[in-house]
Amino acid sequence: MKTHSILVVDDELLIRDLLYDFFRGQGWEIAVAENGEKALEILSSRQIDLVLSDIKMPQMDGLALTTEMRESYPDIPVVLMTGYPSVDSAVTALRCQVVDYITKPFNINKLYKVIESKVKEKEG
Amino acid sequence: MADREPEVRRKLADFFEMIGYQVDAAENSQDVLSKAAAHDYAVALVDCRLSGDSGLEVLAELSASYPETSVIMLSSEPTLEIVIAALRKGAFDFVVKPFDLTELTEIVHKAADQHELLKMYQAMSAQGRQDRDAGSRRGACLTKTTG
Repeated sequence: MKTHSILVVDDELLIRDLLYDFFRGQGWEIAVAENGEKALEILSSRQIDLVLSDIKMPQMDGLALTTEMRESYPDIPVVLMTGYPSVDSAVTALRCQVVDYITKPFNINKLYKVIESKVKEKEG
Repeated sequence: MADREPEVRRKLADFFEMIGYQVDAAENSQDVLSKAAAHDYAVALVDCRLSGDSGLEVLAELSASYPETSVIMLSSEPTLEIVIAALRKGAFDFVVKPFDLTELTEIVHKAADQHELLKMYQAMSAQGRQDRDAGSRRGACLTKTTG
């Protein structure tokens, strides 16, 4: 069975560690980055099935990362998460063609189901 | 173009016809779905609050049955839940009323472009399948002849 790969982008170390341990426990390959710029470096060097990114981050935020990815990596689905949800950011996320918009705090099992279904959809 | 307000329907229909689109107007969800079944629409403008099913349910039905149609949702009272639901159901865009007609026009043009691209991709995929099938048949004939 194919091992899935996910890139988690969040400036909060606690969230990165939590998701790293969880996805490793599910048998996934996981890479982590603390902002959009680091995420783009990782995307240029390894194969990733899905990006799960926070919106509010220093340097390059999640919406800027998604905009950049739509140009360079249009086939990689993006799920955005945020502790500061708003209509405006959700509309921007929709326009960036993200596949889901998750509000924090999240239930990790529900989040996992979303991620798993989006990766399976991508695989067809 | 689906909106329960006759004035909005008339103004938008007149405007988009004036700039070269063929426009059908619908006032409720049943009307939208019956028209969608009879026409290949490039773009659907759907207000979130329609009579009958909600605009979001219409979006879900259009996305599932006519994925090549780009659906733009309109709302005068958007909430976070409504926008997230529209995102999850595959809306092409979400426009808050009152809208700027120039901005809406640009979005509609982009949506129409996406529809064209999808149709081209579908046509190329179908042609590719036909070519592969024809190749397989030629291969089979050759095997039969030489074997």
